[in-house]
Amino acid sequence: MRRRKRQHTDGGVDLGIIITPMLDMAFQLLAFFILTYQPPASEAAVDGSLLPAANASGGQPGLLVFLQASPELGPPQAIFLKRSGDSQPTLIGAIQTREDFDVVLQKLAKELGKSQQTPQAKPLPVCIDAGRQVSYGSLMAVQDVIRAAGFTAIEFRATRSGEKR
Amino acid sequence: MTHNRLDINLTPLLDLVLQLIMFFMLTVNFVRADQTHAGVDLPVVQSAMPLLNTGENLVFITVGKNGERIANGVIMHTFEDLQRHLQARKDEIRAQSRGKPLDVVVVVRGDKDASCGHIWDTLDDCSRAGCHSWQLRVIKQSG
Repeated sequence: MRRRKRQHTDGGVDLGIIITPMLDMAFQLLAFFILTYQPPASEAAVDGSLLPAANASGGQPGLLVFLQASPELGPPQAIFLKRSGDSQPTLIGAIQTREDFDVVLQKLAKELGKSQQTPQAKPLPVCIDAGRQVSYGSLMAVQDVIRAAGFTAIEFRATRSGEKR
Repeated sequence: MTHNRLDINLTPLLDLVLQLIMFFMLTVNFVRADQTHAGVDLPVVQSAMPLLNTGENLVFITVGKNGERIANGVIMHTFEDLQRHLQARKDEIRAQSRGKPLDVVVVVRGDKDASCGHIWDTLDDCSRAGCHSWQLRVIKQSG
């Protein structure tokens, strides 16, 4: 019977492990994991629930942020802010370009800062009333500014297609 | 004449390969097809909350740029399509929870260039189909 053991010149036996299949398998596993690799998602969430208007702040929010829709889908044409005691909403700024939108958002943040009560007080509910043609990205940007200003009770006022405001 | 045998030292290579395998095995993340849709550009939000609810009571709906609603890779053309999908998922979730009451949460992955109207209509349709809780997915901007 032939032995596969190699005889060393000094008389010892070299029991070499055949690593080729292991390397093949290791490379196949590596290729599989590299191909299916997904970087950790940077997704986050904004939670909420849909309530009929009667269950919301009853149309009397502490602050109302109104995003006036432009005729075409995109950022709002103008942003208005109405405090609970005001008879008319205040124009925060008109928007024509993307840069205008960023400037108006900064102005809105300043105005919201003025409306913010003491940190101990219960945060005022803020309602965002956005026209249907306002882009979702713009709405989320406004929502982000409001949340960053310390207002955590945020409502969205919406209408269905064909429904009058 | 003597021949010197030149063996390649495979030990460092094997170490590296096994470490790489270990890394990929630990970070592997099999994303379900119904939870992603490649063609959607989510809005970027700084103040969004990290994902706490990643449980099985979520129903994913993608709203594309033009308002098309996609659930589980299928376009939901009508309210009835969406209602059927939500009902099927609700039944599935109920069966998995073995009778334990679970609130079904609709996860809306809306494109930032979609109109607010399309998002509201989707949420409203979900509410009409009996799912009142929602979650809007966004990209968290760090810093």
